[in-house]
Amino acid sequence: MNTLDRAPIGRGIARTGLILSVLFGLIAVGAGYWQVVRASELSRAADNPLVIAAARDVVRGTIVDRSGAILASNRYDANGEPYRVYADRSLAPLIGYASPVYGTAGLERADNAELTGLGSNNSLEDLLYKLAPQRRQGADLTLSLSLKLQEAAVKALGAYRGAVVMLDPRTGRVLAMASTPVFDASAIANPITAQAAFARTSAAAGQPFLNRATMGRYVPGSVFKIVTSIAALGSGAINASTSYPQQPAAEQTGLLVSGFRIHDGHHDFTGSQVLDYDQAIEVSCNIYFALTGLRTGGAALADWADRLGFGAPIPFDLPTATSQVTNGGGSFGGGFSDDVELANAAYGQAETLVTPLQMALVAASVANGGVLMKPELVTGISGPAGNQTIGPAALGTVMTPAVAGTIGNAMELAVESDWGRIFTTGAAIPGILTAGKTGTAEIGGSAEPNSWFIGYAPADNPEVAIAVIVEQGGHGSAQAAPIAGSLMSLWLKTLNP
Amino acid sequence: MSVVTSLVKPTVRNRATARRGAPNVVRRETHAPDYVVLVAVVALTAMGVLMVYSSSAMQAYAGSANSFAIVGPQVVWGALGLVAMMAMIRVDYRRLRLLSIPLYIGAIVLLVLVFVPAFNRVVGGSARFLQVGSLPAVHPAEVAKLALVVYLAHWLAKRGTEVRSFWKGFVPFLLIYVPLVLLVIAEPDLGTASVIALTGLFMLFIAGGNMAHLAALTGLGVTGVTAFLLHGYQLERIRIWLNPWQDTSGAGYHAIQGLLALGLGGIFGAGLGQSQVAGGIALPNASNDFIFAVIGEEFGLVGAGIVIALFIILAYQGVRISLAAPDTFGALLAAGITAWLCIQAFINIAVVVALIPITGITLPFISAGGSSLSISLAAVGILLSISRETVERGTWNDASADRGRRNGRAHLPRSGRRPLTSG
Repeated sequence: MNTLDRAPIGRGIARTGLILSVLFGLIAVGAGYWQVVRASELSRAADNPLVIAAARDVVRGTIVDRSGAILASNRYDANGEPYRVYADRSLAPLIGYASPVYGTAGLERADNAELTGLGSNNSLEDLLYKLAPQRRQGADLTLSLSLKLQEAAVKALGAYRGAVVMLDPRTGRVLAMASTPVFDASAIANPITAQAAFARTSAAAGQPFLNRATMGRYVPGSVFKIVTSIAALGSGAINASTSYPQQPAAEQTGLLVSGFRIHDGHHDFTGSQVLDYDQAIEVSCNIYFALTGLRTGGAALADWADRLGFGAPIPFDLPTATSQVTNGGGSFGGGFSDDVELANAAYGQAETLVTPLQMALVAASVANGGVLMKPELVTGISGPAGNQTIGPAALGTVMTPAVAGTIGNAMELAVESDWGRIFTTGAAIPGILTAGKTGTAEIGGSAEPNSWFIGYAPADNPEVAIAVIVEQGGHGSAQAAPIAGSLMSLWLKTLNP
Repeated sequence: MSVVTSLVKPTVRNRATARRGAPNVVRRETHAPDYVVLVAVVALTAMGVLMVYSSSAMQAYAGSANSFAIVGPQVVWGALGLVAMMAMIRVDYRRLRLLSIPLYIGAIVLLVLVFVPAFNRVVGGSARFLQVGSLPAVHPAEVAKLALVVYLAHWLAKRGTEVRSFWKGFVPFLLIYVPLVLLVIAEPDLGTASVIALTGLFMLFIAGGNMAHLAALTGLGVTGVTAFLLHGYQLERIRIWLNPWQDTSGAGYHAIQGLLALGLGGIFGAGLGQSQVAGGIALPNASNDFIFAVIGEEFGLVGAGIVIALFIILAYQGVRISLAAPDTFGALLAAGITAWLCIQAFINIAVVVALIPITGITLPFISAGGSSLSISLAAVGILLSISRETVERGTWNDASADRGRRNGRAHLPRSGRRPLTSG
């Protein structure tokens, strides 16, 4: 073909070049996004084989308690490879393990990035590390935990399954977080014994790997009455002198709510008396709180519970299960299905499920005059990047100091008054005013109920708040209250006088 | 070697050598090739050999007790590719016009042969290789890319402005383009098919194809791909792409490992040989489809940026060569080769950074894969051959190179010379 009738192709070529440069710009942005913006977050995927492999070249940071006692440290095998050892089995559900074979769990997992130094945001410092001849050293963690208190809490729970959460209501700092049964985390971390220990723990009864304090969801029973109190008093639905004329009769015959009869079986001797708020807490009157729940309304109850941390995972160093007042499926206010569910939830039955940490926060918010502090376990991180102190931080003001005062006063009576001593045996600390509330959560069937206690001490100037759950421990006063009393006493009188 | 000489003495630009024994009556007048492209491509290839070794050594050792099992052939293929590239630089690219039809037919035959059970070898469950006797397996789809670019450049240049017409331009274009694309889809090798399809579209666009035709073809392609993606397994792929974390151990595994490798690399990288994906245990395709993730982990954003920058240089210089090419065939060929290599690089890297769903495709010059590497290098040889004859054209041209060429020396006009005005 001799006569080439040629199209002007220059423009097409230039546009192609433009399209190609836009495409390469896109992938450059993509690479930058993953390598810079999301890098630190990606390095935190503690269960990923890549991260586990990368963490093998690192000496994990040590973990110490509030007084500097070592909780987790490293030993070296014959080849000079580091492996983890833990101070005590009572720490296992909380701190977890870091195993070369099974990855990480607990705090070792949650703070893997800090402990290995892989989550660093400081690229220049990272670069210097790569040039250094020795192994990379992760950051050390300081916990607010007291090892001695932690050991005592596990010992107090004994053979029972359950959990204890103790924290300082003024700062939200966790003093003890026990979950039983415990397991041998050191054996899982040791490469020689890892396989057998992991298999043994997985097969063991009672799910030892489960940290019941943060992940266990329990029916609260009467300890939930404090939540109902916060909603009712906070919203103004009741005040301290509110009483219900129909309450004594309902205790004899049951309270009729929408055709369903709510019974209150356990205090015949108050059945003839109209109770006010303080007395209702003292004797833990279900009828009083069912009526209070109905008067407060489902929407207000759910709303005030959410202020305390219900309805969403609690911001904490470890993953937390979500506490709920109801399944939320109903069309009634707040997600309740009807009046009956609301009335039952108001004294902690129905579909209400709580974590021990959540109930400790309920007690702590009352103790702290209505201000809810963010729960914290790690208070300090000291690594190559310097020392960092964490918190304390407030999550919000849940109620006015006046409402907190009213509830606190009733909780003090529940432990210290004549009636209270009958219902809350063992929680009182000799010489120190204590406030608290027991709970006996029916779990159905012929099983013993779960035994609950939440409270704080000293009642006039709180330094410790506590939640104790003993699975199938019977009435609240039978197991949980004495455990709480002894642990608060140990903390206030011996460990932190 | 004269090639080495010219590398050492780049000032010798006016190497107007009469080609001994060339059948052409007309002397081919050339200057030095575009060294920028040459250096960029050699750098990419060298980096590729290094990264393939780094990412395959452990896997190869585990598989065959020889840590060089994967990088060894890569070096051999790379050397062959460089020889092919050097040869192509010296060959007058116009001769490819004569070869374009045989090359195209040969590619079709190879693609059909893949379906003959005696010859095919399934690798990775999808991309099929052709293996005859004890010869090394080749990937016919790689040949198809080159064949399509050469033949389309030849045909589109011959058609001139007729490409705008429906019957004389678009329909014959489809007759060339569609069979090749469908054969590669049937392999099945969706990644390569999309590279071929997009390259063909770009070439039609550059040659001045009717925008309505292009839009119709693009629409058809998008509809086809969408219809295809909406069934079962492919739909799953899309869901995984949108959120790889929904199935961390199954379908999202590859994507997540790639992203994690990038994240672990950060800005400065973990250092050569420090990649955790590279073992091939955490990321099976570390040395080919996901090699960019290994680069990102070992050399960080800096290394990843250098690779992207080298491809941008290739794109930029390729476009310049195309703009300054002495004839339409050369311009289309240069643009086609540039588009092909850059689109392929884009798709490969975009998969790793999760911009597009997972498609198995090599990163040109870098990934392990003999046929891909050698054919890509040969294609760059063609591009460089065109670069030896670039002419001044507005401000786009490399002025110094061209001044050297137009220093007053007489040269003969050629029949293939770009006519600036018709007639």
